[in-house]
Amino acid sequence: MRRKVAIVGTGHSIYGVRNDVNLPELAYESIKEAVDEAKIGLDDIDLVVVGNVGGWSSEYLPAIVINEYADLAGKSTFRIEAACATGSAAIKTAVDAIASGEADIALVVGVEKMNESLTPVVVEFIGRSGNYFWEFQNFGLTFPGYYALYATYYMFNYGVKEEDLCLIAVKNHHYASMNPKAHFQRKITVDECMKSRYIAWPLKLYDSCPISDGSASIILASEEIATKITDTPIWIEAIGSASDTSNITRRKDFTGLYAARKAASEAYKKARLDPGEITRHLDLAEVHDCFTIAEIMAYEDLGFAKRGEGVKLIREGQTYIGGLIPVNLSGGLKAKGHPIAATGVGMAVEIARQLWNKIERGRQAPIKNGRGLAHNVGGTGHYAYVTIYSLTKPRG
Amino acid sequence: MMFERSPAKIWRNRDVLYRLKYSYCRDCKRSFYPPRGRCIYCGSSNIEHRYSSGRGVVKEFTVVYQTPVGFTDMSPMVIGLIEMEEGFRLLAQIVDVKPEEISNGMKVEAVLRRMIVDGETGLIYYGIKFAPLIEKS
Repeated sequence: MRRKVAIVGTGHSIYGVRNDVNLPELAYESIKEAVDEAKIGLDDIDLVVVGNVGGWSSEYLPAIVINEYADLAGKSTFRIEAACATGSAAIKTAVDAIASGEADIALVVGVEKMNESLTPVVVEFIGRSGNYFWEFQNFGLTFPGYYALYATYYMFNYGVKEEDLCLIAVKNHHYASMNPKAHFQRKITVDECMKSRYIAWPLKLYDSCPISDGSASIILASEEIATKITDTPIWIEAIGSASDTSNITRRKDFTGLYAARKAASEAYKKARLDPGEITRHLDLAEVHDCFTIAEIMAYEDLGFAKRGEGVKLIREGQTYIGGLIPVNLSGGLKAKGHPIAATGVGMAVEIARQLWNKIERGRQAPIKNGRGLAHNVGGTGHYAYVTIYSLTKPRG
Repeated sequence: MMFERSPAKIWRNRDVLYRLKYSYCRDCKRSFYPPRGRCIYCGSSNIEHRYSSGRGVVKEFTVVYQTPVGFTDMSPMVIGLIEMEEGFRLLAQIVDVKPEEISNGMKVEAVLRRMIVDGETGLIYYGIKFAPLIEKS
């Protein structure tokens, strides 16, 4: 018998180039905010799950360092890693621990400091979320190149144009400009995006997420405790998770990400939501737009649009507030930033605050269904997590 | 920091990297690359190692402008997803052709080329790239 689990506190550091702090200091910015918001004492926490990919920062084995810095020595702790989906994997780990009865209150912190290494090193390292030896080291492909292969497929088969991809960047910069925690605070135009240099054709600099530092934290609690702490816990209604081949050459096709489709289908089934009418159940979605093409594929993989028609949503402005479903009101990975392991947890923080109506003016979604979705992908669909957050306690 | 390219590692894989040695599963009759002792499809160990004809077609491609460390001199670099005659697929550079002249379905063949020069006095690494197929008359 699974226990129900809810978010009772959230914390989010400023994302960006954070040379002003070290890794535990950065983690603590969001930990403190989450603990204060939940109004719990540190003694109440019995599990600390640290999401961190590392490799580019000076603290290679960071869980215990962060634990001590936050005055949590003594708690059960460890590090979780699932490439760019690390944050969601950390959340799943804590949720499962609470659901099973092994823990009552858990802190999940996702933290990354990527700017301690040079860009080529970071780009090369992130390539390891694919099959590094056989596809990167020996043949010279890069991580943006992986997504570019999907982008060219969409251009040739579904009529997606480079201008369409830029529309995603324009939207996400628009909302990031209203998010004080976002890496980029500036709006951009399609023209600026089109003039930016190519990284891996057809993807340009402005199609790509930045290399960010940042942290995000949530406090999760069992039903019994969550309902005592707050009148408005954010329930984890369902988590779907899946994976795909490490060699991209072994993918059957380039129409979206198989792992994301599988994770979505599992999440919808668990939450008993109609996959054909999914946007009617949701108020907003935070999706994994590491490159602009990824957001268009996410629309389709999540069932917001039919295969090949995701591009229509952005052309018609359906993913702005007031449209079919607002997507990435935080600015997304593209403009809020993508501190790898913080990303999945940052999505949870954003959705919780959206559902609580606590977001800055201009980027607060109207909350009617009381439900939001996070789509967090690791690598190029190597890992995928789809998590449904709700104001309503799940049935069953 | 991260590059683990070493002459010993390359040498051990020379047939795979330079001659496109692949695996053929005698049980499920499918091919895959890089080769290994167990079939990636059915798990069988009834595997035969074969050498590719080197001919294939381009299925997808991209042009990498921000190239990885060691490949910087080659920017912009065309990388294609190539389906070989034997049925397996791999990713490799496409050379001797302008990006705008490449199309999906184009026939290509393997050529041995210089991959990376490890600094001014360092080792030169070779590897397989693909060039447009020249049909022999």
